[in-house]
Parts: sequence; C-alpha cells; structure tokens
Amino acid sequence: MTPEEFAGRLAAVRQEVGKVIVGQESLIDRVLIATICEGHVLLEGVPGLGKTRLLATLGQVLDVEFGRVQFTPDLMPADILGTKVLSAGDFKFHPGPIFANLVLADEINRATPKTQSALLEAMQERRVTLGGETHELPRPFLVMATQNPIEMEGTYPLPEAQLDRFLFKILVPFPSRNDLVEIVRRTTAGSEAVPEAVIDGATIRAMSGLVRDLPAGAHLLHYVATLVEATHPESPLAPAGIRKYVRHGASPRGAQAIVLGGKAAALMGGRPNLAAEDVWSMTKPALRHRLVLGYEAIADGVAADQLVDEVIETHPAPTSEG
Amino acid sequence: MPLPDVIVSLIGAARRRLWAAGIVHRLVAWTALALTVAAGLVGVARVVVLEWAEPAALAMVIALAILAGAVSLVRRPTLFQSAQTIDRRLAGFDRVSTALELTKRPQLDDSEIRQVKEAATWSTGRRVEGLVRIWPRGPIPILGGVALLAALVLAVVPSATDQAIAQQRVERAAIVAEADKLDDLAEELPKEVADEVKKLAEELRQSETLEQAIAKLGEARQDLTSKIGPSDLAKKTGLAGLEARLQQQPVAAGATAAEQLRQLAKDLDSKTAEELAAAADELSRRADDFAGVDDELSKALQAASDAVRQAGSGEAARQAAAGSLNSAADQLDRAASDVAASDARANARAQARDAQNRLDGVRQARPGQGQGQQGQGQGQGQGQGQGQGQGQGQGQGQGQGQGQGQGQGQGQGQGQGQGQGQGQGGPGGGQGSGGQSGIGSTPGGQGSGQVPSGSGDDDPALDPARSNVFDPLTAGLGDEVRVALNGSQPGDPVGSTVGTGTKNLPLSDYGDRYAEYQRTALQALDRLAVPGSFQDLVRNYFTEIEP
Repeated sequence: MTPEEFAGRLAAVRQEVGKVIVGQESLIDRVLIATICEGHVLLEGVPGLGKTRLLATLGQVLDVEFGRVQFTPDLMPADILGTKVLSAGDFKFHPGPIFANLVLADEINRATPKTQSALLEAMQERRVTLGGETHELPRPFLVMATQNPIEMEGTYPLPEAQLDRFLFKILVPFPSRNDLVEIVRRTTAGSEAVPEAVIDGATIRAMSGLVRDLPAGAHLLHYVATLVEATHPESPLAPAGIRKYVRHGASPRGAQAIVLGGKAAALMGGRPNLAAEDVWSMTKPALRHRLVLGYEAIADGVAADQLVDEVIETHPAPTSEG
Repeated sequence: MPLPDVIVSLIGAARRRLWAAGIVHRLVAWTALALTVAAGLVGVARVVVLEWAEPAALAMVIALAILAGAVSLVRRPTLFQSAQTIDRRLAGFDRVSTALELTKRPQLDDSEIRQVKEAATWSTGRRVEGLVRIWPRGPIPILGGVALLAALVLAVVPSATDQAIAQQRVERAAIVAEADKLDDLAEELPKEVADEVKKLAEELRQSETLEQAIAKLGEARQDLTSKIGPSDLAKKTGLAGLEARLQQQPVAAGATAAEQLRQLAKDLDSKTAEELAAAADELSRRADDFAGVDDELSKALQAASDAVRQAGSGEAARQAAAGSLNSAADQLDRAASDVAASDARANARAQARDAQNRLDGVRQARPGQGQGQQGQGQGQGQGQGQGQGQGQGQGQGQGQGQGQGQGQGQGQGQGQGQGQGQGQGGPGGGQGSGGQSGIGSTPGGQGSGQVPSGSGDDDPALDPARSNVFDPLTAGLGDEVRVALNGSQPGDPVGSTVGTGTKNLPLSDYGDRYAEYQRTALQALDRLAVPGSFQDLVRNYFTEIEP
C-alpha cells in the first residue's frame, strides 16, 4: 500500500462516518488513528455526545466482525470472554463477544474490577486463556470503550494497569452550535443515512504496517522520550506541576502511543515522516490517562491535560540530533 | 544516500541567515542593555560627582558589544539547528531534519528514500528570508535607541562632574607648577636645604587635592621656621660685621676673616708685640660681639685673642696661639655655613609662602567660592591742624569702618598708628574705611593732624593668621592725604581733605614679615659701620618682637 492509497482509504472511511456523525473531526481522526494502529481507545464524555454511536458507526464502516458489550455491575468475565458448555458429553468453548475484530465496551467502568480485569490479557496479548486453553483473538483486535466521567455512583474506576493498555484516552467534547443544529436536523428527519463498509480487516493491517514503516527522526524519538520522562515527578526534566501533582508518570507505552499515533497522523496528513507537530497532537490522548495524579491535583482541580501542557511548554521542541 | 543538494543549499542559507541574525540580535540586545545602564550611570553623575562615570559607561558599552560579537561568532548555529528552524518556521514538519538525519545512515529502506526525495521536493525553491528577521523589532531596539540618545545628551551637556574634572586639572597644573618652581629653587640652595625643598616638591606633586597641597606647604613653612634659629640673623650680622671690621683693619693678609686668622697663625713669628696685642684686642672685641649669639665662636675668638696675646712668650705659646687661631677660623667657617643654611631656609620658606598664596588664589577662584575676599574700602577723612604737617595713610581692608585718630607733633616726630574698629569722632575726626595706618611728621611748629584710621581686614573667618598684619613690602601704599596748614597759627582749622583708602591690600603672615624685616635691618647693619652697642640694640629689638 502506498501513502496515496492510505490517504484515499482513510478519506473514504471519514466520508462514511461523516454520514452519521456530525462534526467531531478531531475525535474521529483520533479514533481512526487508533484503529489504524490497532490500538485500544477509551472514550470519555458525558452521556449523549455520540460515543457509542461513533463506535457503532465505525463498526459498520469497517468490514470487520463487530461485538458490543454493555458493561453492568453484574456482568461476569465469562459474559465477555466466553465459557465452556457441556454439549454432547463434552465441554465445548463457547466464545464470548470479545472474539471480534472491533469490540465496543460500553460504559466499561460500570463493571466490577474482576470483569474489567478479564479484558487485561485480551487487550495486551490479544488472546484469551480459559480453562487452561488459550484462544487467539482475531486480528485486527480493537477494544473501543466508553465511560461516563460524572456518574461515579456504582462505578469502578479502571485500574492503572488496564488504563495503560489503552492507546488513547479521547475526551468527547460537546458539539458546536452548528454541529448541534445539524445533529438535530438529521436525527429528527424521516430517515437516517446508513454508512457502508469501505475497508476490511486486511486493509487495516496493511495500513498499520505502513504506519510502522514511516520514518521517524531520532531527534523526535529522543524528544518523545524527554516528554515521557518529564511526566515523572522524580525526573530532573519534570516541570513544577508534575513534581507537585503527579505520583506516577507515564509508562513506556505512553511513548509508543505518541510515536505510533504521530506516524499515523503524519500519514493522514500526507507527510512522509513523523513531525514534532504530530508528537504534540498525540501527547494528550496518549498521556492523560497514564498520569497517576495525587490528592493535591484533585484538591486544586488540576487535570492531567494541564500537566501535559506544562510538560510541552517546558520542552517545546526537539533540542538535539538524537 | 547523500543529502540532496537542494536541501544542503537550503540548510546552508538558513544557517548563514541565523548566524547573521544571532549576531545582530545579540549585539542590539546587549548593547541596549549596556546603554540603558550607561545612561543611568551618566544621569547619576549629573547629580553626584562621579569622575569615572562617563569612561566607565563607555567602556561598559564597548565591552558588552565586543562580548556580544564574540559570543555570536562562537555560537554559530549547527546544521541540525538550522534544519529544525526551517521545519518550524517554514512549516517543514521535520522533513529537513529527518532527511538530514536519514542520509547519515549507511542504508535506507524504501520509505526512508521516499522521505528524503519528498524532503528535496519540498525544499526546492524554498527561500529563507522568512526564516528570521535580521534586524530586530520591538521594545529592545527602541529601548537601546532611547538609551543611546539619553546617554549622548547627558554626556555632551556639561555637568557638575565635567566642571569638577576641569577644576581638578587646573588645580593639578597649579600644584605641579609650584612643585617645579620649588625644584628650580632647590638647584640654587645648599644640599642640606635643597634636599628638604625637593622632598617638599615631591610631596606637593603627590597631593591629591589643592587643600592637601596648601596644608603641606603650611607644614613645610612651619618646619622651615622651626629650623631657623632665633640667633641666626644675629649671627649673620655679627659675621658680616666681623668681616667688614677685618677688611678695614686686617690682622693679617687674607680675603676673609677666616683666611686672615689662618694667615695670622702662620705669621705669628713675624709679628711684633704691638701688632700681636692689636690683633688680640681686635679678636677680643669680636668675641664680645658674638657673646650670646654664638658662644662657641665667641669662646674660640676669645681663646685666640688670649693665645695671641701670649704668643710672644715663647715657641710653645706661639704654637698654642696658632692652634687657637686655626680653631677660631674653623668656627668662623662653621658659623658662615650655618648662616648660609639659615638664609636658604628663609628663602625656601618665602617661596613656600608664595606658592601657598598662589594655590590659595586658585582655591578662591573655584566656582561658588571666594566671594567676599575682595572688599571695597572707602575712606573719608577730615583733618584740622596747624603748622605744617604731612600725613600718610595706608589703608587696606574690607567693609566700611569709621575711625578716629589724632596726632600732635612738635618738632620732628614720627608716629605710627593703626586702628581697627568702629568709631565716630568729634571735631577733626575722620571717617575711613579699611585698615589704615599712617605716619605723619611735622617738621617744626605745632600741629595736629588727622590720621585717618579705620577698621578693616581680610576676612578673619577665612584666614585668621592673615587677619591683622599689614605687609608693607608687598602691599602698595595707600592714598596720600595732605593737609594744608598755615604753619603760624597753631590750633586753627584750616583745611580738610577727603581720602580714599586703598582697596584690600594683601596681608601676609607675621612670621614671614618678621624674618624679612629682621634680615633687611641686619643687612643694613652689615653695610654700615655701626658700633657694637647699637648693633646689640637692634638685635635686642628683634628679639623682643620675635613671633
């Protein structure tokens, strides 16, 4: 696949998604980037902003197997992973909804930690071990989760280990007034547009390969490493906000997410290499859920995004050749 | 794969532009900072006298400008920095930086080769003018310009510092000139005194201020005065008298008294008893002259007189007489040497005084000082008298005074008066201003004359030592007042006169005047053949009025 084909396919996906989702271009691009990178995404936003609809639409546009799980407190791991059932005198594995290319984990923080943990191995290893048997998950394998940040009653915040497995955490903003008008117009008319599937799993994997092959200058890799290192409060590179409010900085997965997402963004922009601009655009989605904030941050109302901004302000550009 | 030429060219152009911009920006910023500080410093120097302010400000600006240039030359941007600037400022999205880095690798894969080619395509026709502005804009160059203008204005317009420096140069030149004069004087003095004068000249040159120089001159004068013995002038007079006497009535052949004594010591055998007796008498009288003035010389002369008187009694006595005469001659030489040194010190002291006066004049000429030193005298006198008389008045001083003086003379007389203060007289009283003294003589007849007297002096607050002594040598005479008298009817007022006092004649130190007065008087004694008893009278007079 050439970069031109890459751009063409992506444009087609955008167009189909755009039939259903009004506006939210940045949100869509980032979800697509995560998809191309075969990375899991956590969408966070108040109810009614179209999180589930976006992911469901994506499931329609991508010609891949789509599974959806509505997380509830009584959801059991077996409800996700599958179970063995006695059939004809023998236990046969009955796969759960996770055995799909694109899994929508709706309101993931409503499930218990036990059930949430059932996703850990699947998300990282892309396989499921049940009853001593390991079952490979189909490729591409993408978990698209949503969570509501305001309804804390009866929810179970995702543990850091699981959060770290999401490539991006994307905040879903409220649509602009024009977009809101268009949303109302579309959803109150007689019929809604139905998107068509434009790319399949093999294409996604091919696009993923192209992303990984994109050149990235050593100075940018060093720059990304600097940014991630600066999120650690004990690092000499850390700015004052990080030292004050962060208990644990981002893991190496954060750096991987920035670079991979940046490469995909560069390709989406028709550029032949990773750029600092791509790094900057991917830093917040890749790092905001990987910073473990202390109580001081909660008390002072400091969000992770503010701290990431401070890191970038402290280290505004690559400074060495690597 | 080598870096494409178009990228090399683009990076090179960007590097040169960045370098030039760095030099200019740093130069402007640092110079603006230095100019701001310099303007502040020069501004402060207009209020407070800081002689080093302007040179320091100029040096700081030059130093910072040179430093800025040197730092900029050393800190040349690297290729990577230039490529990064292109990527950031010209929206290169790290094309150039990445291509620069990839081409350093030994082998490139397809995607990397494609990247380099795309970077070359992007670089083609790209210009670096928009990369960075060579000449800075914004508040810093404006600040620098304003500071430069302010510094120039403040530096060009004369300030208190400039005046102080100019005054200091004038004073310094005056001090050096006085030191040079002292050095010239030292060449003419005996070595012992010359060394003292040279040392004084050197100390004068090392004086940092006019006040220090004046103080050193004052100290030197005191020191020189202390080294002049009170009997030195008497000794000089005595020696001159001795020389004059022996020239008129020599005791032996010889140009000087000492030579005559030494010759007499050699010629004792050939002298008759009468001649020896006459010589012994002469030596005895000269010994009496020196009694109380130079006891060693007096004793030596007396011993020589006694020995000469006994010289006819035998060979041993003659030898003893010869020894005594030689000893007396040595004492004469020693006394002459002492007198010469004393004269030299007096001369040096006079020079020091003159130098002190001149430097004081320079000090008085300082801006804002010296007011009130020059006074104005005005005198008015009325005289009444009879007979013939002549009055002379000399006045000096400042301010206005009123005085009254009255003198009456008969026959030949001499009077001297000096008045000070304020007074108002009755009939015949005179009004005058300025310190005045007068000498009037009325040759014959009776008369009364008015000697205008008054008060006035130099400002006592400024120089108390000079406040009440009139210097008859350096000052000019005051206006003469002549009173017309008929000379036959004593007591009838026949005339009046109006006199004007002389303005502010200079005053000088009593010690200096005393020394000159004494020297002049004793020189007169030397020239005249004055009897010893009268010489003693003159010497005693000076002893009485010795400061």
